[in-house]
Amino acid sequence: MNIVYQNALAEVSTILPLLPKDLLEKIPKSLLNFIEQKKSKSYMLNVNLEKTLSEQNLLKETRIILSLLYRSYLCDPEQSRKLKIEDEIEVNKKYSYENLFKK
Amino acid sequence: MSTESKEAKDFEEKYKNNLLNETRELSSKLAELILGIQDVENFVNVRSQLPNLGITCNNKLIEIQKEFKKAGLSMYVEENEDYGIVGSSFLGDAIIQDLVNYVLKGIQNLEEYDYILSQASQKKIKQIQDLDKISPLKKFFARIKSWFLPGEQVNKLLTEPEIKKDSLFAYREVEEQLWNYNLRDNIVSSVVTQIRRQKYSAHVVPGLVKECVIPGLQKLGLGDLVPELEEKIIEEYKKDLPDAKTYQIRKEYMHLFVPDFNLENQEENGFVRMNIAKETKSLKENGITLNDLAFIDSTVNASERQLVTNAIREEIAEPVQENSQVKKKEEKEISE
Repeated sequence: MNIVYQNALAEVSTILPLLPKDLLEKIPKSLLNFIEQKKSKSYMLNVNLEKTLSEQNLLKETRIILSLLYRSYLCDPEQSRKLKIEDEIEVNKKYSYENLFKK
Repeated sequence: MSTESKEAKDFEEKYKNNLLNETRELSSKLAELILGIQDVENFVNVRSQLPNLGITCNNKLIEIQKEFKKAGLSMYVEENEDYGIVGSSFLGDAIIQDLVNYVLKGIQNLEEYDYILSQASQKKIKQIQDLDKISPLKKFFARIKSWFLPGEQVNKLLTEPEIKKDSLFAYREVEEQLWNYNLRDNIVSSVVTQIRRQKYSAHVVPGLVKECVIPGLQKLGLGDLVPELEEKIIEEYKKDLPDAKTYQIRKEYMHLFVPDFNLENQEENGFVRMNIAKETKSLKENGITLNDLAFIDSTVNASERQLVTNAIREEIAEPVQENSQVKKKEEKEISE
């Protein structure tokens, strides 16, 4: 696995224990296991507890993985459905015929 | 929703003090700006009596605060006994934000006018300097010439610079709007603006309106404005719908994009959601909340998510090396 992803998984693994128990339990054990197995064993994230999550110096890939976890397991189903449709719209717009001729 | 508890009273006091300080600050900024403008106006021979919008705003706040009080409401605090939460009043916030925005808009207009005036005064200074360079004899003949030809100016160079007053008129217009602000005519627009400003998800809005807006409107004797309010909110959200040529949203998902006030079982806890949205605390204070994750999520785009999903999918498809090694080792141990 790409080293950047391994580092990102190491960051995710450091962050997840800060989630409330009820949220953490929503993430499948197999996925948590995958994160533990694939994360870099040498990379360490320094979490500054005085700052908010978004103020932490996180890798872009970490943010993306957290976003995926949020959408897939943590947010409420209505919100998840809406976010999914929004993504579809975004991807659709990108490949819409009108944009094909734009430089 | 009562506002009787000690927490609610403390909250109200604190909110009022902060607001008072902010409006005072805006008023003194405007006073300073107006004073500077008057100085330059004297120099370029312009007179405009400028009112201080900060004072108008303060008076308007007091006027509306009295109307709220008369209706048995607080403009500053709302208390939800079921959830034990004390927070600012949604209606009050919407109005205050709108009134303050008038002042901020006015400041912007005056700053533009101040800039135009300073350009004009610089032009005039240059004219005076240029005039000093002309010989006295030439000035004398110009004066004689103007005696016979009254249309001719003595000092052609010393003409008052033209001043564009668009921003000054805009300032006066804002002042008039602020002066005329009243609950019946403006509250719908204030609430719609506040909902858009806070970027509430469409499916949360009906619950929010039901819980935080309608009871207040009814107490203020403005319950008849509810249909208009709902209509305006729907119009606002419709503006964000994707172009139908690019993407068409299925009917059953429409309430996720445009609030549907007739749909039942929607998000009821608007008040709680609204208050959670206001809070961003350090990890030490709050740990990680759903709100933090929602914020992180909003900073990532669809393509990035797709890319990482693909990478993870490929990785999952591959056999996990460490695991298979352990398995082999276990198998070996068992066979031995």
